[in-house]
Amino acid sequence: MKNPAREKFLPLLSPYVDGELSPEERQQVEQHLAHNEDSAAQVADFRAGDALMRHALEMQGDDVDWKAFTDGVMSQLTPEKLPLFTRLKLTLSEMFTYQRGPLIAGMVGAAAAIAVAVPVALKLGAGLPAGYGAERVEVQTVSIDSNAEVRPVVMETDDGDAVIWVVESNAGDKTDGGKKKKKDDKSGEEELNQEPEKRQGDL
Amino acid sequence: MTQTARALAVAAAALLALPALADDTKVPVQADVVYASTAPGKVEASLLPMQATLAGRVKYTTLKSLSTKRLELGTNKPAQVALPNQKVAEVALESLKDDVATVRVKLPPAETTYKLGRGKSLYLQGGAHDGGELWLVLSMPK
Repeated sequence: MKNPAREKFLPLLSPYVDGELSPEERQQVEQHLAHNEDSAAQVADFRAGDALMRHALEMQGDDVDWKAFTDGVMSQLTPEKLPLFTRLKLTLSEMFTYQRGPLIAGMVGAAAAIAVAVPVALKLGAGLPAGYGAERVEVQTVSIDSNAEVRPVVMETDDGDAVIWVVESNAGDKTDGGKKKKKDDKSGEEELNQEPEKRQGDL
Repeated sequence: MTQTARALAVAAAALLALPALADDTKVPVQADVVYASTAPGKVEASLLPMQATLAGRVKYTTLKSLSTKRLELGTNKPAQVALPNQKVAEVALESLKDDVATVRVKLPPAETTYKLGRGKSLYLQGGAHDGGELWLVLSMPK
């Protein structure tokens, strides 16, 4: 014989065990269970089944390496980006901790390069504008091959230049298309009157 | 040898070697070979100062630059400049004193030593060529 009350509450028994009913429905089900042994027995069966299931799952869970699971999940998480200064500080800290040798060697090399490059650059920079020249060209010595029948004529100009003519020994003071040299020439012309056998001399 | 020690050795070697290289002073000299003639012709604009300088003795009416060479003179490292008349000029740094270079120029049949002048030139007659004369002009590069 069917019990209409049990038929009514039967669909609510499983949600009752799972805690899915509202307070009013829960109260109505509990009143029904107090007066209906079949439903009460069925609820007890549900709870026993849940307990068995939970126990079985817990036993399975004990066999799983949850540490690896946690590490795997954490490794896939994108960490929050740190501020630039903090990242630099962290990077330097790690370099000093784990790469101290190469870091110090690099710093020593860089310091050595700077120690050499700066004086060289200063020296070159200071030397370039003035060069290695005096105020004017100063001819110091002129010599002629002993076999050559020529003689040098040195002329230093007012502008600071110098000219060295090579004229024939018997050509007087003339050169190719030239004009006669004057002893009192303002250009500073100077002739090396050397003996034929001695064609070297300091000016 | 550890990596650190190797790096330190390289740095020390560089520290010792670079000053030695830096002391190898180079004196730059510009060598121009110029063709000059009293025959009617053209005087290049850049050679007008040369024409004026030589005019006290010869009035050249043709001046033509044939070659320009920048020489880096070091001690015991003579540089050569070939002239079209088969002559070869040999230019060498004789000494460097008080930041003034003394240069020796051997252009047969003459051999000259002179002190460089800032912005000044030394004109050396280089012999006959093609109806005129060749000049070797030595100056400091600008």
